[in-house]
Amino acid sequence: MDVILKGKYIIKCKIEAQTGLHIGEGNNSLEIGGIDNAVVKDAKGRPYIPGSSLKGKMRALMEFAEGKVRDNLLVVSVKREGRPEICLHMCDDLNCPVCGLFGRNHGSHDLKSGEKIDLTDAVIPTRLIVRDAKLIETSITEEMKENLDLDWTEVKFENNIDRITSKAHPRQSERVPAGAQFSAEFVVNRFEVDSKDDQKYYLEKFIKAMKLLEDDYLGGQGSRGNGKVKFVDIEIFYKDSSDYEKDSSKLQPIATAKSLDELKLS
Amino acid sequence: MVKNKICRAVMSFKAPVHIGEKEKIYNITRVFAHSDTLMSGIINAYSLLYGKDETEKLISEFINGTPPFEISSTMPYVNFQYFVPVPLGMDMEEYKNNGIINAENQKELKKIKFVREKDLFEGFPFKYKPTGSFLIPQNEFEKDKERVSLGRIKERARVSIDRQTSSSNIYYFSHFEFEKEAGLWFYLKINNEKFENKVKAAIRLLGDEGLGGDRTCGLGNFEVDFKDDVPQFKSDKSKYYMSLSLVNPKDEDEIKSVVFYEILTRSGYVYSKAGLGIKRKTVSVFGEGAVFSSKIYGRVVDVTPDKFTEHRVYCFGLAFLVPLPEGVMLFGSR
Repeated sequence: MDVILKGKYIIKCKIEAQTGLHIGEGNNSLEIGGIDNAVVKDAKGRPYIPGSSLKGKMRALMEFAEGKVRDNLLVVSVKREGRPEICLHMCDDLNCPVCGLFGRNHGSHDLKSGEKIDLTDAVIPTRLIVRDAKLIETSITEEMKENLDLDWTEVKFENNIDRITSKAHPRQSERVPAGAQFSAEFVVNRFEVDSKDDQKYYLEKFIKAMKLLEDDYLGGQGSRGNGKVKFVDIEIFYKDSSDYEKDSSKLQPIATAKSLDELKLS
Repeated sequence: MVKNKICRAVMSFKAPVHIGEKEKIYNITRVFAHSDTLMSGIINAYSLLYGKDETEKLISEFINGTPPFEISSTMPYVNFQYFVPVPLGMDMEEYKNNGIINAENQKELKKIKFVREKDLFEGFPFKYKPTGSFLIPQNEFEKDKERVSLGRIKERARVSIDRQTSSSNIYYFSHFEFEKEAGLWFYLKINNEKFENKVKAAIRLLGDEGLGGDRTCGLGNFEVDFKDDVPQFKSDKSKYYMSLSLVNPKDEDEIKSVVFYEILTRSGYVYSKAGLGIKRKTVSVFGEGAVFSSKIYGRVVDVTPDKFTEHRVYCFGLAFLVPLPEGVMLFGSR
């Protein structure tokens, strides 16, 4: 198999948190008097959206939307005590929009239905690259900061109530406040695989994934209001592979839009 | 003979980077990419741009002993001051006794891993003070004390979620975040002008693709700038040479010429467009900073695993030598 890069679609946009956003960090940052449930932050203490969160969520949504969540299409990624614990979709179909865009792991895998599958011949470089989305610091205004409990984030109190005794079990959770914006960048590679050109197939599929994400949620506690996001100020650039031989060229966007609904590809 | 062109490729990272230490271990990250890692990255990018046949042509030049270009390992820069590794066997104690380095104790001296490029090649004209693993001039030290930092390591939590039951599996992934005016750089030597544009294109593409692990999740992406401000290495003849890349010696004589060295083991998986997760053969190499008493060449090692027929796999082990100036104090050279 020969794969040649034709060019890259670079999608630059802002991600706006429309409700509080909680992407958890795990429990390795314990401080006395600190928050129980912290959000991810960079080395300077500003919250950000990890590329892996965006990419993982979009992949999961695409798998559902493309009808790939079936026992004979799911591979086992984590086993616990010999039983499948985490399953996700991966296949050897070269035209699969999910695997083609989000990538495959090489080697052989166990299918959930019990058979084995070898993906070695289907692996091509992953087309989609998702960058970490950095906080746009000015989007959290001075006025908002007055009402925030921490430098960049708010603390939300949540409660569990025993149905009979009414005993309360309060807990706190850290969130990025609604209104915060992050600058995001996605790259969709356009390949020529054995002289078959991708054209805009994967770019269109990726835009579908963005739309799916807008109607779902990012991060934790999404079924309870957290994590509604919207892509705004979208600009799509096309960088041809020949552009790399020149020194940094000024690229003109091939499409711009205020929101996904307005976005039209020429 | 055409004069070889050396330039400095300066990488400014736009995202944190994860360079694996050992296979399957995600919560440890290295900060610097060795020359073989960097070379594989460039070759992979090259092949993505120009296809299989062109790449094979490029590689055959390396095998035939006429490398079209050479690179060093990546080295740090902080506040746009370029650092190189300390030559192994440099006698810091002697520098301290001669009043060049002002350090309180032995421990501080031991920690020094990097010196400024121009200081090394100009024979340390100022007075110096160690700060962490860097050795910088004393007067600059007083000016901005805390700012000599390359960056820091951070751990990010990653999770995989089952599509049907939503059960989750959490794991941790380390990465290195560079400070604003810090990053990595390496020497790029072009021997064959025919390839210059294509190689530079491949390095630019590598910047967009990313260096190291977890690239499709946003890590390792950088912007590269090619600069010509490299020092003129005064004389090409010298008593000692230092390698700024990993070296795998070609023959017995090359092994005999090594004076100070450190041996590293390079292993890992095959990564190519064939994308195969097969372990490649392991090689031992001399690490950066090894000092040689004569000019050596090194070699490109074939590490193709048995039963792997798709293509050959190589580990870049050519030496990137720089002559050490007269008067560098090495152990036992007094």
